[in-house]
This record gives sequence, C-alpha cells and structure tokens, in this order.
Amino acid sequence: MTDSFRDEQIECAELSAKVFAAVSGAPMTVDESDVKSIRAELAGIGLPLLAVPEKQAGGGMTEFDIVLILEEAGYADVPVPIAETVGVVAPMVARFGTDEQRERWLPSLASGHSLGTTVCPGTGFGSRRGADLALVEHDGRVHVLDLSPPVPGSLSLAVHELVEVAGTACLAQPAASVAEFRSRGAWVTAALLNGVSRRLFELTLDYAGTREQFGVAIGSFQAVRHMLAEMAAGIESARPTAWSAARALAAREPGSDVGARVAKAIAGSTGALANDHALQIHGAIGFTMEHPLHRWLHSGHELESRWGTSAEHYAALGATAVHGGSLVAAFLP
Amino acid sequence: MVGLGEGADASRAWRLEVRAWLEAHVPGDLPPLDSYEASVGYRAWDRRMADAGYAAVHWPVEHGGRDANEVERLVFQEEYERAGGPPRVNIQGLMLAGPTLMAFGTPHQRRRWLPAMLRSDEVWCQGFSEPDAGSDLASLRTQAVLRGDELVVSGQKIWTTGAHYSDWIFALVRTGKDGPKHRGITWLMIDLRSPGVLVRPIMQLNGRAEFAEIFFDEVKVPVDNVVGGIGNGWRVAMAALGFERGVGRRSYVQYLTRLEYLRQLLAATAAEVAPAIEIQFGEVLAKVLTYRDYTARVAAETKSGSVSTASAYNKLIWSQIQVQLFQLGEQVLRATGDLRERAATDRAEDWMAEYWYSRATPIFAGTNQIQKNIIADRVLRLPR
Repeated sequence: MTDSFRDEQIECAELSAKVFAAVSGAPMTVDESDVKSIRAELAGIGLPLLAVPEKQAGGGMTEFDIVLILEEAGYADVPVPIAETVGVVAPMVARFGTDEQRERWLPSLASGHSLGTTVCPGTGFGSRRGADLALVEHDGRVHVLDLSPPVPGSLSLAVHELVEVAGTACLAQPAASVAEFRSRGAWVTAALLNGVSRRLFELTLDYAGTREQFGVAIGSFQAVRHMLAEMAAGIESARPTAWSAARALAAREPGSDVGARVAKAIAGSTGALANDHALQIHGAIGFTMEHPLHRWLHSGHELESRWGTSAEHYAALGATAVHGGSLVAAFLP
Repeated sequence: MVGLGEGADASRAWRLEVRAWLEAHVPGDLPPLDSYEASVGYRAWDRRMADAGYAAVHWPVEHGGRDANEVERLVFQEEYERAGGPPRVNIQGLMLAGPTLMAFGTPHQRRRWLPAMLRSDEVWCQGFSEPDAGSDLASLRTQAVLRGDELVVSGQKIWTTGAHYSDWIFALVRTGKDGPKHRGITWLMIDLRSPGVLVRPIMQLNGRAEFAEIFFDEVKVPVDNVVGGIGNGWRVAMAALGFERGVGRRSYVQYLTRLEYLRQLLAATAAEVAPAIEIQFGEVLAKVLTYRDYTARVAAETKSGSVSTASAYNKLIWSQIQVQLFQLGEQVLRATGDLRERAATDRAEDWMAEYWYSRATPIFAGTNQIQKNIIADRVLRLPR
C-alpha cells in the first residue's frame, strides 16, 4: 500500500525543481563552461550524493525520497545527467565500489567536479553531457568507465570498445550489482520520462487554452479535450508505478526488478501517447525548433527506448509470469 | 491519513483482521445473481456482514459502518476480492442511496431506510437512465405529479442493474417543466411492490440478464419519499455521484486473480505459448499492477471529505484494463483448445460471457467519453 509523500519530500523536490529550472536553458545555448557551473550549482544543494548512506558522507535518503526529484529533472530537461548520478551512479559506487573507486569518485561527485552517467544495453549513452564517469554492463559485470580526460569519439563506440578504452575496473558482486544496475536504470528512466510527459502535458494544456481557431480556444473542442484527458489519465497513473518501484528498491524487496520493469514499460507507453498528442495539438508550431516543445518531444522520445522499450519490458514480464509461479503469491499483500 | 509509521501498521492490522474474518465466513458457491430467488443467499451473506460490522465499512459508526477512510476501505476491498467474496447484491444502496440519505435525508427517512439497507433486508437499485436520457441525463421525462400528499409517477427507466431482484428504487423524476431542464428534477424513493410498477429484465448480448427496464403507470408514492426537496434532485444526484468518486469499490486483486487463472491454464496446456500471448500477458500484468499503484495513490491522497482529483481517471483506467484482460483470456482459451466453434468448454463459455460484459464497461456508469468531458471540465478546467 502506497503512502502519500511527506511534506519534506515534496519540499525537497520543489527546491530541486527551482534549481533545475534555473540551469536548464535551451541545450544549444549551453557551452562547456556552463556545464561546469551547472554541476557546481547542483552540488551546491547537495544533490549528487543524496541517495548515498550518511556514513559514506551522503544524504542518506531513500529511493522513495528522491523519486520526485528525478521527475523534476525530466520536467525541466536538465542538460546534464543529474538524475542518473543521483539515482544510479552514486548509490551504485557507494554500495558496490571498491574502496579505491569510492575514494576516487564519491568526493568528486559530491563537490560537483564530476558527474556520472550510464550506458544501457543496446541503446548507447543516455545523456552524458558533463559526465566523466560512466557505468556500463558488459560481460556479466558493471564496468566503471573513467572518461576524464574525455575519450574522443566515445559516443560512437560500441560497448566492448568503450570498455577496452576506459573501463578495466568493475564494481564488486557481479550478479548483485548487474541486477541492481538494470533495476535502477529502468526506474530512473521511468521517473525522468514521467517528468517529461508531465511537461509535455502542461505545455499542451496551456496552448489549448490560448490558441484560437474559428474564434474560440481549441481547448473547447471535444476532440482536443478528450486527447488532453487521456494524457492526464495516463500520466497520473504512470507516476505512481515509479513511486512504487522506488519503494521496492528502498526496501530491497526481491521483486524490485519487476517493479522497475513495470514502471519503465508504463512510462514508455504513456510517454509515447503524450508525445503524439502534444505534437498533434500544437500542430505546425510544435514541429519547429523555435517553439520550446521540441525539447521535451526529443528527450521524451529518446527516453522511451532508453533502458528498454515498453514492448521489451512487456515481453520480459510476460515470459517470466507465464513460466513462473503463482501471481497471487507474488503480488498480493 | 495514513503516514509512513504507525499508520502503515494500523492498516496492516486492519487487513489481517478483515482477512481472518473473511476466510472463515465467505460463503461457497452461490447461484448466479439473476433473479429474486437467487438473491436470497446474497442477502443472507450481507446480513452476516452487517452483524459483524463489515457490510459498509465506509459508513459512519452510528449507522453501522466502521468509519473507514479511503485507504482502509481499499484494503477491505482488496481482501474481499482476495477471499473470493460474492458480488454485493446491494451495491447501489450501500454506495449511493445510503450516503445520499445521510447527507440529504430527514432523521425519519434515515431511520426508515438505512438499517434495512445495511442488512440487505431491502435491496436498492438506481433509476437514472431512460430511453431518451442516457449521457444527457437531465433530459429525463419520467413524470411525477403532486396530488394531495402523493406523487403520481408515470414513465420508464432503463439499464437498471438488478431491478429484477431489488425491493426499492431511488429514481430521478420530473416534477417541473419550466426553466432549464436540470431544474424541476426530484429524487424519489419508490417501493417496487407498488401497484403500477412493471420490471422487465433485458437479455444482453452476453446471454445474461443483469439489467432491466422499469415501467411506471400512475404509481402513487408518498411525498415523504422525496429526498432533498422537490425540484432539488439534480443537486442531490450530483452529490450522490460524488460519493461514488473514490477508488474503494474495486481493486487490482480481482484482475490479478483472473490473470493467475489464465497462467494456470497456460501452465496446464501441452501447447507452446505463442510469443504474442506472452507479450500481451506481460502488458496486462503491468497494467494491473499500475492499477494497484494508482488506487493506492488516490486512497492515500484522499483526506476526509476531499477526494483526490486523480480519482477522476478511475473509470477510464479500470474499464480499459478489464477489456484488455478479457481479450487476453480469449486468446489463451483458444490456445488451450477450450474455445472452439460450437464446441466450447463451459469455462470458455463463462469467460466469453465475461468478455462481452467487459465490453459494457466503457459504456455504463457514465460512458468513457462522458468521463473525459468531466475530466476536461473539472480537473483540467478547459474552456467549454
């Protein structure tokens, strides 16, 4: 049974949202020196190690505590991989890293000198701007890639080439770290994507209320109203799956991989619906680079595939469920 | 509001209490609920629930409920579905008529109807829709003319769930013809045994008769049976539909249980499971779990007297899941060989009757198009 968020969790997300909004100008206007100052600002409010235990100098927050912050990163379209750092990379290094890896990376992430990103199976880099640390699964292990100094052409390298160039070090406990890496990757991406979908929805709702045709706001036409209602219903039911996955991860429940899959699958199909409806309702202006909508159309579309498409997750869930044990035993409280 | 600490424990304790009682008391097979005779066993079950304080947990304690908040109500529903409890014969009474009486009824009316309602000594049905008033409810034409201290009712109601095994109907009737059409409507309690009432079950396309139509021919109803005042029925009805808005009436458990049934069918078949079925299975499972998380969210956000706005999406979400689940089951039953032309097994026939019933869900209780209109108006506040 899900509880609602506590006031301090909501306040924390609101504070992050303010900072995210301030640092998230149009991506093309962001240059390398901006990236540096963005990293510093995010570190300034203590974000990078928020979900690292206090005894490792982190914020000691749970996945459930930070899930709204991840959504806000998608909502704002933050140009650096802060969600990946907070939700995947920092907690993974803290939990499975060697002493040497922790000392190398945690203080550097905390101070804003570093940022971490993930390379997910089959779909290449997520957002990597400003990242000098990347985690990648290869050959049954999570490899720790050191991208400082930058690896030339790293965007176009296959995973095994990347590992050859930059990733001889691995996290400990191969089986456990790989499983957790996949769950965290899917879960963080789901939360980010839900934030993107929420932004697409809000931009579209505003537009439908102001854009006039035939002498009235287009939001008064039933066809448009129904599309917006579908977006709202989809998004407001997708968000709680990522919250629930966060709770399962925080409790280290054995089924947390299923929760993360469900969250990503549903965020993906809802994200696709939001993407379609947002562009359709905006019409031609939404198909331009001069209107800001394209930022969330692009980022949302990319996130739909990152860490597995809906179809991939549905197939995996179905195969496991059909050939597995009792669903009642697995999913009833 | 349940917090993270002792609230979660309290709801756990409530869950275990309900679970233990239901496991000991849920009746075995009852006949299909399709007639007055068949309703007897269901009424007896409700009496038993009422005696134990479980008939309407969301009702206030003074009326025999448990004053359950939305989370506790959802927990109860999850456990009820987990235990395989039978359909609730008096759902319209307990969910709609009862809370309406508590809000708008006189003390005398509450005493007259609530206790018998709670125990299903009197079963209620809802008389809103008419042949020419479906989505456009305010166009209703069933007339009630005041003569002395009686209202004389003539007209027709239709699509009334369970009218053929009910004792009473709460109906919207027209008492005035002037002004906008939603004025001049009155909420009236009508005894279905009154002379001049004719109930006719409607055979549905799934071969069952769950709905009925009701004809009123000069039916005399005491004016004391008006709830909320003559001409005030629209306001009362809108408030009543508001009582229905939470998420405590239906849980993911009934869907998960069906999915488990399909899993067992697939596990028992010798045939290879097609990839298309696996993918569809995974999608339905994901959506069922989404419904779990969504209802939990709405329940947790609902504070006393103020239902979370996210509850407006409920009907859209569950009706889509229900259709998709029964579509999946049809494919599974074809794969197992149960569903063959002119030679379907009993379980396949039962499933297909449920499949066709699922096709009614986007239509009844406010079509999904009307649901979207409501979302656009009240949640999104779009221009009209």
